[in-house]
Amino acid sequence: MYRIKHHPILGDLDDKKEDLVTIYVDGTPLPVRKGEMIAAALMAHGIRVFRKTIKHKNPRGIFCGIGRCTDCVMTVNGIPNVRTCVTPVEDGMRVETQEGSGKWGDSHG
Amino acid sequence: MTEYFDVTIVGGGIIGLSSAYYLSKRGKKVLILEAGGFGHGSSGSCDDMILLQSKKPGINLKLAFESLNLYQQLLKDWGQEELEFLNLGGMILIQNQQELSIMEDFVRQQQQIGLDVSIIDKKEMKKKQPYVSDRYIASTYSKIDSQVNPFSVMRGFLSRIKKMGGEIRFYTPVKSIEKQNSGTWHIKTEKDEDYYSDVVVNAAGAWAGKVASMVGQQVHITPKKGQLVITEKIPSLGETNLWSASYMVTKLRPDLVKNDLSDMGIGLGFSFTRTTDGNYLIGSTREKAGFDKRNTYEAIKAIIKQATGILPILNEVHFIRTIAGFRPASEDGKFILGEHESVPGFFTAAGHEGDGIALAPITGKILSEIVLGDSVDSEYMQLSPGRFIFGTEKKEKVLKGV
Amino acid sequence: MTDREIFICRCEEVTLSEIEQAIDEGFVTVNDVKRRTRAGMGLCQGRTCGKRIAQIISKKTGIPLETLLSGTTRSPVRTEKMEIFKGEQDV
Repeated sequence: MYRIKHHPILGDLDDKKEDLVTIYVDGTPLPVRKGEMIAAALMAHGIRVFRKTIKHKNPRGIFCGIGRCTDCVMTVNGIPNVRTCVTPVEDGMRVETQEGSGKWGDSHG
Repeated sequence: MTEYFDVTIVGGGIIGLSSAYYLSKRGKKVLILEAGGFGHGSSGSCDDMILLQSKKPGINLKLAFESLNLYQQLLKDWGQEELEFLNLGGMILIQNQQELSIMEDFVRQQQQIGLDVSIIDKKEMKKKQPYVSDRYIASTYSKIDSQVNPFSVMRGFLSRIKKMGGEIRFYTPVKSIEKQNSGTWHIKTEKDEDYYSDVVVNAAGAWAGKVASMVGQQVHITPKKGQLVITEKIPSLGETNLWSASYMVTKLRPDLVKNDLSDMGIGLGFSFTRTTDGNYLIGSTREKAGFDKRNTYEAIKAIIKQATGILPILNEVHFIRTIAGFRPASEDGKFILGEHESVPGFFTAAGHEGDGIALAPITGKILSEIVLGDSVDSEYMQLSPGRFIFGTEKKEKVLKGV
Repeated sequence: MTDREIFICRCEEVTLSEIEQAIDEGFVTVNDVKRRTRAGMGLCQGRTCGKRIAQIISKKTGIPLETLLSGTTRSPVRTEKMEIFKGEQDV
């Protein structure tokens, strides 16, 4: 959705299978490109709400995109507050929309 | 500029504000002179505990009890949103048999005076604290240990003091305090403002010695630097706040740890408390470093390594800030509260070391009673600023063979 | 949402009107506003909002911006996972 597939300088992007890995977003498997940041992968799939804020439960997503503002944090593999804009995807990664401070995943229970 | 107040309080930390609050409630017009801003001193760079089970039976424990009752009263009067009072309880983690037997003995003493505390086994400990390392074999547990947000308490005091007619001047260090022939105190500030009042209260915490010296008095308070690490907001890691017995043991049985240099002389002890906002405060140190408020790499490293050893999951948690404050430590471990006998109208309320937040309400309340001339429990005499002077004179007499 | 309800501190969700209220109450430095409202106490530690708050104080009180000290900065320069000390020698 928000993926540039044809770029005048960088050329075309073809989704070769070997370039893809699978992450699970709130339980749903999504094919994403190896090496890209979690936030980029979610944007490519049209996902724009990454978390709900603590106080007012407002939706948040990418703001600064460079790991500074901490607006894009999600719970990744059971660890809350992971900055998705500077954390690369890994095959099998579990990414969850974070409500407030989130909760610890099972692997850490 | 000339202004008169019934009472001038030097120091706008939690002790000064509590004193002003209870004096205002008794109808006194108070002025607070604060050298820095809101919460700039120790009250804004500490943890948030009303911790009872770390205390030996004695006046500190007794007053902590009474202070907790006052906090519960404030909770009723102000409401939870304003006070941010939490009652999570506390556990002191025990690592080996030696610590266990010392803590069993300590807990027995506390139980005898009615403190609700017990020793729980490993299974029970893990149930309450699933993330604590397996190397811990048991723990104490008390439901009574509580906490408040120091900033909220100070805000609550301040807004009510103002409503009752009291005033505060921030960024206003005191330059001199002199008694006039009329018996009224003349307080001059570094901004060259003049204030007059019948009573002066020295609530300057770690700086109380400097303020007392303005009227020719000595108070034996030295700053001990305490460094803390603050984590990001995270989901709760356990039912209660945490401490470790090893630090308690160094205090209770120094003979056993005389040659233990493991804390590098920084007074390293473990405390782990959850704030109402979801951040954790991890402490802490007690260092002799004068008035140097910088955080040091060595201390932060020691605090974090200790904490990740006790709670390995913390390796995955971000720390967002480090802070340091001066714990105003009195010579004999008891704070100073009362009138200076040779300087009528000059009172000190300071020297609470690590218990300023816990003991603030009771300190302010007793101070207000002393200032108003109520008859107070004779037990409070042991807090009087005169106790050190008597000691010195006695010592001199002994030395001189009188 | 009125324009005074915009968030100044994104991490702690503190609005412009809350900051202005603190200024009205007499909290007129970046540190004091922080201690009153929590603005700057969040994950980014005021790195996004600190300068903006100084501007708001200056505009509202007339205190020249250049005399307003920025909030106290303390380590870490950037938030880090506590595991960064893992490799360090034990104390």
